[in-house]
Amino acid sequence: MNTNTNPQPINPERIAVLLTRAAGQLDAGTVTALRRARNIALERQAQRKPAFALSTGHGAHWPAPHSSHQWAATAILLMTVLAAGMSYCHHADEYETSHLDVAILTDDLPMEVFVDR
Amino acid sequence: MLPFALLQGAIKLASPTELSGFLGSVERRAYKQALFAVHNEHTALDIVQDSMIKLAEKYGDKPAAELPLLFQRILQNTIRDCYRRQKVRNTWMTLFSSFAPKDEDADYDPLESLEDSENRSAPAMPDESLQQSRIIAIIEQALGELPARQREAFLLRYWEGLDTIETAAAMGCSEGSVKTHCSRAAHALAAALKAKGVEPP
Repeated sequence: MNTNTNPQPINPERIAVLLTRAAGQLDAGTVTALRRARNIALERQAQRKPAFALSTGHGAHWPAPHSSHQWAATAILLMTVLAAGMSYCHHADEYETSHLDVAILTDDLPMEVFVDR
Repeated sequence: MLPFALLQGAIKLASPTELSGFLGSVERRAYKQALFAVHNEHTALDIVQDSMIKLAEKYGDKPAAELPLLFQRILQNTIRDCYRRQKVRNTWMTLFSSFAPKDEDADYDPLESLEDSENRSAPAMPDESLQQSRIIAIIEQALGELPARQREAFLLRYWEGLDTIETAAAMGCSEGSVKTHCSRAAHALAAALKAKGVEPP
């Protein structure tokens, strides 16, 4: 007696053909909606300009410049910060030197001058 | 001499026309995939539209050959996001449903109507087409009832034509899992057809 209850195996490729046939019979409203969705997506692609984006791979992006104007502004900003930093270091050094000179002349040197650092 | 010529030939970026052609070729299947997953036409359309927009915005300038796999990954992730939102919404609905009056039509499943071979309002069709429509309806219903991962694997592998490695990449799982999911899905579909007394195609 045959007790085999396993169903007859299917042919996945044949199933795929039937599914494709069903997808080809979508109603006009759905087809129109899909076309509209496609056009919206294509408009979004058109709006997007090539950019140097540093992707972290998790959907987040570093704020990198996207145009020549932004690159120029970034360069100017960096140069300004660099110049300000150099100027600050120079003035701090100068102030410390003059402060020590005054202290030597008035014989009022602070204790930390005699301590090895 | 070598690098530039080779590089330009190898990395051919998708043009708007290519992207449009690709989306046009995949949109119906994508809609059906989403519909099998969420059982709601409007939500399925939203999922497809979101996926298309994400592809165009983030990967629209990728090589045309990479678009199918990228799109499938985006589509599957968007479907999963929709599941999560539905889960949260259902939690709240369950919480408040005890205060609302019981809806008599709540158990109505529109897919049941697809099985109605006795429907006399349908236009007359040749026997073969009628039988085929019935099989398609049963297959679609069975696909909709499959566990999400099995359905995903089966459709990506056999309908979208991705190989096992690509399917695994799109699903974010191992190749072994893809094979297991596909096998179980095929078995479940065969069982569904047998239960309806239909010869498997």
